[in-house]
Amino acid sequence: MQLITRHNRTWAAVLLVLTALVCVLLAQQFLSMRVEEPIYPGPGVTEQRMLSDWFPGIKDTAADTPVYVLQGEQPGNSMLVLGGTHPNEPAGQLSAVLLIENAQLSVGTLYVIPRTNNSAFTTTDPQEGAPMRFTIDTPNGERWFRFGSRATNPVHQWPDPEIYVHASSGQRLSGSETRNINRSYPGRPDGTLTEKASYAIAEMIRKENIDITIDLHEASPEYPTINAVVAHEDAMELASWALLNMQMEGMDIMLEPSPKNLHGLTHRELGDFTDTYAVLMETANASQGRLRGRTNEALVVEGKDKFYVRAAQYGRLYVPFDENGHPLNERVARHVTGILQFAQAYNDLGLGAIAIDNMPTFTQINENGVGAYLNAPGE
Amino acid sequence: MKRFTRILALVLALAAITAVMSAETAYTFRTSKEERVVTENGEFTADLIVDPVLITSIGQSADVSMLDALMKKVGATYTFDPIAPAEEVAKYKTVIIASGASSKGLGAAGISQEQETARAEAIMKTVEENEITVILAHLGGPGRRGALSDTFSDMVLGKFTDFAAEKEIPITLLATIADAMTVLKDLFAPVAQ
Repeated sequence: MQLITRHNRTWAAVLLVLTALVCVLLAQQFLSMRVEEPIYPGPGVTEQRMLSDWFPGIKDTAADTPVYVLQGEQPGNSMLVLGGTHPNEPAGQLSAVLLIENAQLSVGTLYVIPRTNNSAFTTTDPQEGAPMRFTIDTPNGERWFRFGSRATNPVHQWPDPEIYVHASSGQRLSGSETRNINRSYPGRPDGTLTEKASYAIAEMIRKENIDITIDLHEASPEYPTINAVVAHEDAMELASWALLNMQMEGMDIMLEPSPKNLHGLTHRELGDFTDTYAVLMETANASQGRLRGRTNEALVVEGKDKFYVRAAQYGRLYVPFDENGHPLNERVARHVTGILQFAQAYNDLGLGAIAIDNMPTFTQINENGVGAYLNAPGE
Repeated sequence: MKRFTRILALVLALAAITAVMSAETAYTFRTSKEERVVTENGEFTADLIVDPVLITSIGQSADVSMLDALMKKVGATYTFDPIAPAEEVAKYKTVIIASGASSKGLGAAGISQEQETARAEAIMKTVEENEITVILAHLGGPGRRGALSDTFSDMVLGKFTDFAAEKEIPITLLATIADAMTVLKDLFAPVAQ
């Protein structure tokens, strides 16, 4: 009996040590999500600010996030690009990074926020098995990027209500949507952390008189609004013109009007509560779909999935999907082309002047890959 | 339908060139990378268009905005009113109707499905009574085909290649929406004096 007791104590100690070790390792992994991917601004970036400059209520919180300003040589109109609204839709953030590292403006000003919901980059969605990061090959070696969550980290905003009531409209949604920044616009200065972040963006648009706002997203291949632009009614003419330009560049893309009765989204609320032309773009991302197979870095970057190929054969998808999938290169090429064509359409329609130069074309990004346009450290 | 003096169907069907379609949803694409614009059952010529021209929508999909942008790009002269009532339509000699239902579009326009159906019925009665030339434009391609969209297209003229063949009226098919520029330039581009 004594021997058994000694034996149990020994094993108990071993188990305790092992448990502590596992806890330390998991905690390290958990905290590693707070490390931000490096971004190497190109010569077009004239200033780096923080979103809290426009609304101090988020200063020193997880909602505060860098804003890259690319001031043109000549004065003109302005555009804001929101990447990373949903950090599990990586083409948005990567397209924003491409702008920061390459774009130069000859006319007007470009504002780029690569981590719009900064807090959501610090966690992944539970039970999704999503990778915590992904890498892109560049001529100077690998660059890594964060793959995060659709919603604000619960560590930063908790608990969720059972029902989320959108403040300005009274719209009722599932409680977890209270942490979705793209259901929180136009935000509130005294609201949740997520509402404060969206309020800061709306404030920035109002204070800087930003003319065009483009919110970059991705969607599951089985989601109807995909390979699409969603535009506020004030921006429909601009969006139609830009879409034709995109089609002429070889992109198949459709236009959807922003529903008036769906609240909290950029294309609805920024159009209603600011003077900006508010649009949102979607590409096809298999790694966030419900029909996907193994969820790993390869799926995020290469966008290939045999289950989606089969779903396409059964006519269950809203985009073509073959064995080539929809790689990140293609998705970023679509977003970047869209941004450039919105600027072009703005000029063509005589609404103002904004000229974004030095960006690769749709074909170039598809052929050479995103990595060819990412800077090396110190560049 | 026979009472129409001139009824044209310009069906701008967007066909994904390389789309992988299942057996259940198989389409026969008449367009290809080489032949991006295909016209069947005759030809469209500028003399078929009588001014003034109105562009409107039945179904309120965003395709009407695309049509507006296309017409602007070719420099056409026209009036744009996606929710034009029948009495407004009566003022025109040619009406281009972008058909395609969108619940988002109907919501954005503040119109119910029933109201849009009633408007469509009134418009079609008006164009018959006033002998107005009708051009049906369907820009959305297979992705925009659904029960409600098809109902609206049927209310205007009929769907699409089969109907055009049956009635022996010209129909133009396009590989992409942007290819509509080719057709619209011939019909609407201002002639240099």
